[in-house]
Amino acid sequence: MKFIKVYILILIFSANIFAQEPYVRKFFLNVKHSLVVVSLELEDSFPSEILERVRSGLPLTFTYYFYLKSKGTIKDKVWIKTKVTITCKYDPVKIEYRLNFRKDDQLFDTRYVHSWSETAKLMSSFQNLSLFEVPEEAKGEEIFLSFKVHLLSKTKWLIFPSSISVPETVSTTFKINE
Amino acid sequence: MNNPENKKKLKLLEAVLLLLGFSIAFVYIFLFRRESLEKHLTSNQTFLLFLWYLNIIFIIVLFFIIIRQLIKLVLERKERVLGFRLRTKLVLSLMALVLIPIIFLFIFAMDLIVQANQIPEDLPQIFSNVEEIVKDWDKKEMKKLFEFTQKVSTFLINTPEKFWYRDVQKFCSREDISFFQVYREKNFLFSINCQALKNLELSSFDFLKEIRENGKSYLWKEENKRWTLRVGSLFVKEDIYYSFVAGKIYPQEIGMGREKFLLGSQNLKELSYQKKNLDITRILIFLFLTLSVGFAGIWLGAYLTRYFTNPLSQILEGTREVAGGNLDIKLPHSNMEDWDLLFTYFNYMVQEIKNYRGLLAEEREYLKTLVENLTLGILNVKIDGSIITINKKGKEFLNFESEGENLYKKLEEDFSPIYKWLQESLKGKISFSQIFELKANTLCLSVNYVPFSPNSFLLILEDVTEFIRAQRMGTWKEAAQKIAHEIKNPLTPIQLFSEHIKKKIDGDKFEKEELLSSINTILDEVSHLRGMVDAFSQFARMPLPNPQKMDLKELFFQLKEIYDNLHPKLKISIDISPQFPEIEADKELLRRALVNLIDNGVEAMKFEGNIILKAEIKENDVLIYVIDEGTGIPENIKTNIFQPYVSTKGRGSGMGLSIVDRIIKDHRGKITFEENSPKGTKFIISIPVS
Repeated sequence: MKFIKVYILILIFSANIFAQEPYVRKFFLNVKHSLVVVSLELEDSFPSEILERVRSGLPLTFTYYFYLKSKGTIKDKVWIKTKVTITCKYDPVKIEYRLNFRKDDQLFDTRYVHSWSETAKLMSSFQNLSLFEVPEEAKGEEIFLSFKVHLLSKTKWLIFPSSISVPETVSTTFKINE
Repeated sequence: MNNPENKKKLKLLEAVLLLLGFSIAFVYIFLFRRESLEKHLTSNQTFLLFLWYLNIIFIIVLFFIIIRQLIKLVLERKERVLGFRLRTKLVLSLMALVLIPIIFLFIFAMDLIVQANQIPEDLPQIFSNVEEIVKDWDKKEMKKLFEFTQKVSTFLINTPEKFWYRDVQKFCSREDISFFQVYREKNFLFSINCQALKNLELSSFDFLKEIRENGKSYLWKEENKRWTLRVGSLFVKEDIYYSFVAGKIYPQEIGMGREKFLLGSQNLKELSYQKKNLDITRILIFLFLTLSVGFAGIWLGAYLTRYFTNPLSQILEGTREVAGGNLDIKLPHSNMEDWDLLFTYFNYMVQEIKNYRGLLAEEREYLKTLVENLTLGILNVKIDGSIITINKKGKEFLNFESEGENLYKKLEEDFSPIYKWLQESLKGKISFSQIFELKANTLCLSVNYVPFSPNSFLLILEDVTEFIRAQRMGTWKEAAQKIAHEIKNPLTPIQLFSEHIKKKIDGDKFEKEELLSSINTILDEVSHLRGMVDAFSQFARMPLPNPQKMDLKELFFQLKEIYDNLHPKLKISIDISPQFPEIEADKELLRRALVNLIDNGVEAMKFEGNIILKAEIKENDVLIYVIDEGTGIPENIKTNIFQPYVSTKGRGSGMGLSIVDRIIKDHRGKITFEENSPKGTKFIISIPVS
């Protein structure tokens, strides 16, 4: 099987001028033997609201949504999608952070980390994370990968739903030969 | 099952069961699951938003219901729907009763909720300070153990591995540590149990991996119910990775105390973080409950109001129909027992009215036929003269062609005496009767005036021509008999004495005195005859009274003056108030009547004694008393004393009291008499003041 290696470097400057909104600093997409592998890094993903939550001892969950899509006239066609969640909870007795990694709600890794910096790094970056295989139907089509990250839900003026998130980020289109 | 009543009951039962179920669930959650639920809810933003939107929807719905009710009331008021006032009062009262208390309750409760959740201001700071102390202690302990591993590493760098156990043991004995473990790569090498601990656990793979990756690591762990601190550092010798793990086991109280404090501090931080959400959640839940109560109260109240006012409107509508004359109205059955009973009684009442109306109509028809065919003329007339009803005989008597004619106009044109009399009767507003001779005396009509209502009266006309004629005939007959008898009395002595004189003149034997005596007797009898004729003439020519305003006091004093001069032994006493008002009467006729009465009294008292003239006002009548101290009226003539030719005086005309009676009757009054005490007679004249 031929493989196509596509290196895409996207620098997205989506930081809000009023506040330091989280944004994607690095995003690498690799397709190896139809397997989509990503590496990414978020920047400014720990504003005060998130730190406050971590310090309060309540669990903090970052949710990464990945979609393999094709451009459509009205709406993009989604070939396959996956969700990766990283939940962090601080244990004050053991003085450690417990990180649970789940993919589509299935636990695939647990880490115990003593330092906050490492915890933050583990939560806001991936290195060569295998997402999914490109479906047969999508081969030969112009496809692209999009992802968005949900960091924390909150409310504006106590009524309107809001959240701390990274808006949808897309790769350039590519094609997998059949 | 198809019975609507049963269906309704079933629905009610379902609603009650549902409500009961909700209540039990609510109580269970509130009593047993509140804390865990709250914890879950406060961390769930989605639920928070859901609560918000639910409350907003409820507020909108409640607002809509209230506005709808108010608009309905305004429209009903505009259309003047029956019972709208009552419904307005009920609905507004209900809304106020429901909304005002719950608003106050909500505001008060909201404050309580926030206050109840308040964390003392200095508490977080205190916890933070102590936490710092604990963390410092943690760091010191870790530092101690880590420094030990470094010391051992430094010492063992030049020591062959086979001697490590021996040398490390020596180190351990000098330090305050519980155990020391050495691992080569991932494999356990040896362990030194400094405190002879039982069931000492080896370090976990993850911990060793972390030491390998980071060069050092630490681990707080509860082992065999005691808290253990393990500190590991990496030691590399001759390209072999060794992990040195030094550990200390702490007494239970320190370990547990530390754990409890740190957990408590963590909970406080959690609570502080969640506080706002917790407050909002509680407030929203309470607001939801308050709105539910308000919604239920107003909705139920509106339903109950209809339960009360709808049947009332039906009753009002029915009553309005009946008042408008529709007696076929029938109120339908109501599902509510009390109202159904009222409706049934209402329908029964209307039916009874209908029946009686029928009977009344029959009776009215009967009376109408009766009145129409009476030989009396009956008119029902308004005060302004317009005729309400007139029967056939009435039309015949008064030559009416239609009921539309005005009575007064007709009477004034064709029957002026009746018209004048009627006007006087109307002023007096008393029942009065008068006989009129009409049509050149060929018709005698008895007209009876009867006040009927404040705005109308009855005139009853009777043809009494034959009766009057017969009465007159009878009266003339009687009068003729009496006159004949009275005339015969003096004629007899006149004839006797004339024959006596003739006999004497024929016989040429008469004496002058005897002749004069006979002539005087004849003259006396003739004088008596003349007096009788005069009295009769006076009676026959009695004019109708011409009432004018007159002062009765003045008349009394005039009479007194006359009689005081005429009869010195007689005393006329006057008993009348100086403020006695003027009356309406014919002064001359009244004087004549009083003169007759006084004369009778004077004669009865034989021209001496006391006669009292008294007057007083009683209701609308003037009462005039003429009281004498005479011999009184004999029993045998009391009943017809006011008839002509009835006299106690041997040779009187017998017309005096008849004249008095006639005068008083012409004044629309009456005269009576009674015995005076101790003796005499009291005549009482009663005439209207005006």
